[in-house]
Amino acid sequence: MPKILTISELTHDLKEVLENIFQEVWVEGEVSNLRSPGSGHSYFSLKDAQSTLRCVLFRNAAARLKCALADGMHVVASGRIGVYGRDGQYQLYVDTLQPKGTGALQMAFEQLKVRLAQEGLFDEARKKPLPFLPETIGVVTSPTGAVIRDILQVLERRFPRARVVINPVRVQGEGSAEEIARAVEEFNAWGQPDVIILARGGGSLEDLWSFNEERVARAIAASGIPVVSAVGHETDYTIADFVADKRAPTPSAAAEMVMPVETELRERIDQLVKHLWRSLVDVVPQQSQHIDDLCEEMRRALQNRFEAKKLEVDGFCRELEALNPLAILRRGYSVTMAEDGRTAIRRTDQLKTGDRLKTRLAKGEFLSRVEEVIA
Amino acid sequence: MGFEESLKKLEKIIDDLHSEKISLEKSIEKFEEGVKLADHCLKTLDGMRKKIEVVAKTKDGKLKIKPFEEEA
Repeated sequence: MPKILTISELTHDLKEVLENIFQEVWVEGEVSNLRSPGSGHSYFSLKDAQSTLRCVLFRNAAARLKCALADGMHVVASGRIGVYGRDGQYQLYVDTLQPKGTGALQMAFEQLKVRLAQEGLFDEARKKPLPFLPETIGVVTSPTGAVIRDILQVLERRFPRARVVINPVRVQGEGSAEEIARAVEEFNAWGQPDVIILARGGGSLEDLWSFNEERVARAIAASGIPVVSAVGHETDYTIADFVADKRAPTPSAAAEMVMPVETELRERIDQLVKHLWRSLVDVVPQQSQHIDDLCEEMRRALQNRFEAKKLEVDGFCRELEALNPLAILRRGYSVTMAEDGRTAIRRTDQLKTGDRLKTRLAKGEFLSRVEEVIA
Repeated sequence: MGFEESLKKLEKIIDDLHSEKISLEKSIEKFEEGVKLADHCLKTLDGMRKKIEVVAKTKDGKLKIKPFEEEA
């Protein structure tokens, strides 16, 4: 007689066997019958052409998803198999879940882009201007390969004495997004770079994926130092590009964007100094012209005054003329003075016999002697 | 003062010097300031040094800056 088990006993045995063997499985399939009740947990099935697997996605695992689940989505899920005794069901308790294929990645990209755009992370208003002449340039990229070489070459060509600090990161693969984000944060904590270049060479959407991760977007948005992103080729746009303060089509272009050309700068300063001298040379003649004008004006003013005065003076002159003793002399009068010619003789008591006198006529003078004082 | 700021100020001074209202004393004062600014800009350029460095992380999470040597 075989041993008869209760349902619970059998379920318990199955549970032990299954859960022991399938502690971690990876499966691929299409999402169907998705239900997401208010609890935040999600229930769905993964299916392929022949079979179906019931799946549970708990709330905390759901929060880690890169994109929202949807029926028809092709995904790769990992987790453990568990047995749910009440329904006699085995199911996958999902730990990680990723969209599979470019279509799904594209979807994840679009979803994050919309979400961050709604949050205002791409707004022009929050973008910082790049420094005019950075003294230290931080570069977050792989320390090997063409990208860093291109950047250093362009910088060398434009400004041979720039200071560049590279924060080396992996630019693709598991954990690379975290490294990139942390490198940006490290530069900010350190504080020395005036600008940060975030760069990666071209690649597929999967290759560039780290730059589409929210973690990276958040680090860029939080950066107090302006960030220039240069990810992939000219036609590739990543989330990092949208959040960055400036997007450069290529790593070389990013280097061009952050660094002015030294010779051009020097030329500009030269030009300015020339202008400065010229403006001084311009100003002084302008000023001396001004002074000339003032002089002329003063002269004219004086002259006018002088003309007025002259008339006045003419009047005075005529008056004086009338008083001029010479004029009286011309009429036949004469002046008699003491011999020294200083004292005019007005009365005879000024005289005594024998005094020598000087007499002035209209024309000439003569000396005479007093013969007799009469009265 | 930053490089860009100095350059902008220098440009402003040149503009001011061309304005007719400025007095001779003031224009000479401005001119001297302009010469100083240009000098400051050139000194900034001259003061820059070439340095290529790389961040190395220490165990305590602090940044250590080392000279960069490109790997072959």
